[in-house]
Amino acid sequence: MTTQNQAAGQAPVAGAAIARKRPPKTRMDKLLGRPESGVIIAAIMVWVFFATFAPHFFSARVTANVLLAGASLGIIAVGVATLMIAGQFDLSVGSVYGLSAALVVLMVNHGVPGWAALPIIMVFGVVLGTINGLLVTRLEIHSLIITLGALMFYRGVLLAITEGFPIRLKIPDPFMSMLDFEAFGIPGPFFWFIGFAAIFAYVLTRTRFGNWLFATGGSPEAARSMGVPANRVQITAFAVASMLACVAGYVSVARFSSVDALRGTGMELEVVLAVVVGGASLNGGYGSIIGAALGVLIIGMIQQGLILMGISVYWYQAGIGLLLIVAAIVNQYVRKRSIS
Amino acid sequence: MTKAILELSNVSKSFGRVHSLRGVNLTVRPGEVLGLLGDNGAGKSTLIKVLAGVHQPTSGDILWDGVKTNLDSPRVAMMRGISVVYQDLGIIPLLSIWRNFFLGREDEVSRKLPFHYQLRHSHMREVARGALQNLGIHIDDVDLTVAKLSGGERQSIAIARAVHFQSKVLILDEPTAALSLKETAKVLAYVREARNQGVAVVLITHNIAHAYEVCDRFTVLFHGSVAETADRESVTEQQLANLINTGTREQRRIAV
Repeated sequence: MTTQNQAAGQAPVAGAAIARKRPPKTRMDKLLGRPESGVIIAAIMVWVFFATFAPHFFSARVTANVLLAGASLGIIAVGVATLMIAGQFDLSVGSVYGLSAALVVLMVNHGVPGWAALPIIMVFGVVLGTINGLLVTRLEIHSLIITLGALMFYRGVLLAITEGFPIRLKIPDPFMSMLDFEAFGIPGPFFWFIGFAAIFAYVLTRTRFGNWLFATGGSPEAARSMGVPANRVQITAFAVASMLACVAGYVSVARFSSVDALRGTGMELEVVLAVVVGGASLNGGYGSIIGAALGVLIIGMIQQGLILMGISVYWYQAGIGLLLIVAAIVNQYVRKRSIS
Repeated sequence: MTKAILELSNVSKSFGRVHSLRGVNLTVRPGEVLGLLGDNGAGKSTLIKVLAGVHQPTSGDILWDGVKTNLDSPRVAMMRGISVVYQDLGIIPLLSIWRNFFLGREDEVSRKLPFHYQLRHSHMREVARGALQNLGIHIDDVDLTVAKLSGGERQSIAIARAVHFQSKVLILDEPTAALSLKETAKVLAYVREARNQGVAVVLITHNIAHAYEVCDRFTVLFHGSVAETADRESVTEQQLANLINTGTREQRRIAV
């Protein structure tokens, strides 16, 4: 019995053959080995395209518009990307975004100082997200169903509260005015977006919780068998998604001082689009925050670029749809390359 | 004979009116490979789950190092030093080798900072590479996603992980199912290496030939109870097959 002999003190030699020879990584492999590889290339291409064909694309005003348009969407996308990597969806973020903005306006109008409204609305978001998370994980109902219900419910509550009319801050709040700054021509809300993107990019790649998120999204059963509290991880991710939607609502009030009852309608799908363009897998366990952030910027660039080129805004949706399909094809290629 | 590290004494487990285990006695000793054999439905899976802390016995005792104990959850069993390598579970295909290696044990290789554990990436890579090498597994690029590895390589990583974290008991559930011949030989070599490093190994398998090659002792389950526990020297492969099929060493015709 040959394997018997090998066991006698020379197992290390025996092991040599199990690791099959793999070709060394080429530069192409390294370039395309990350979830955000595709979106980086896409972002550059879109940018070059509009820089060439859209007049004034480089002007400070246009840049500021792109960044501003991306801010709310971006803050929400960070949360949704985190949740999608953990293997779940949240369709209610658009409604929660609108509802939270309305609640912030109402709070401030009833005398709650702006600095206090922020933590209150964040806690509100955590509570909503935790409810979603508990329903999905404890009852094992698909997150699409629970959060679709939540989408309708919170939008309905918002419509009922505002009776469909826009509401606005009666008097400007000093704290919120302070947040509505502009530095180096970059609008304030964008800094919130970059801040959250940086924090969560760090959390996902450099911390134990990040490791657990990817593991849970990749295979909840396997993660659980390795001692990862998979349910808790997913509930936390739901809480993060809703909390960031609420923060985005707060930031939008600080910027625009008003809310209409349809604020954030359709945003849940736009966010999914940005996150998927950014390289995340709908099946969970794969994706990146930086990719999602770039996905958001691409959407902003297309929006502004088409306007500058004098193309009817109706084409915007067509352009975005095309982007999603192309991005999905590229990402599929990148993913296949890195996992098989 | 070395002292038992883990012992089941008269353990039964029922799910409602289904009696999966009936008065099972089992001894697991350090530096020994115990083969746990049995046909489908003999109670192997339930027995592993009792050892892994997934199920609690309906009656009977679990002795850890001679002391009566409870294994309330997989985490508790893990803390005691019981590692289970499941057939296909326990490894995340989309994660890299080193991230898989430390999954659930990150705190040992992390910096404890306020609110979170920060992973020490390069340190983790190095430790993972070293642990694989220690068992004779040569995979230099620990950044590969596990999805790129063969079945045998995945098993070997799980075994290396159990050895590295100084598991006292390593339970392998069908480690050679769906492996090529060459890889099977390698995985069995790692099992032996783990045993030589003083780990108590429990090998669950259908395959009598594989079991006979590495196991020092066998416990055969038949219809939820132990048919026999025997040292390798005192039993032949044919007798083991008979034990699995009929619960006795005698060959009996199976009504087809």
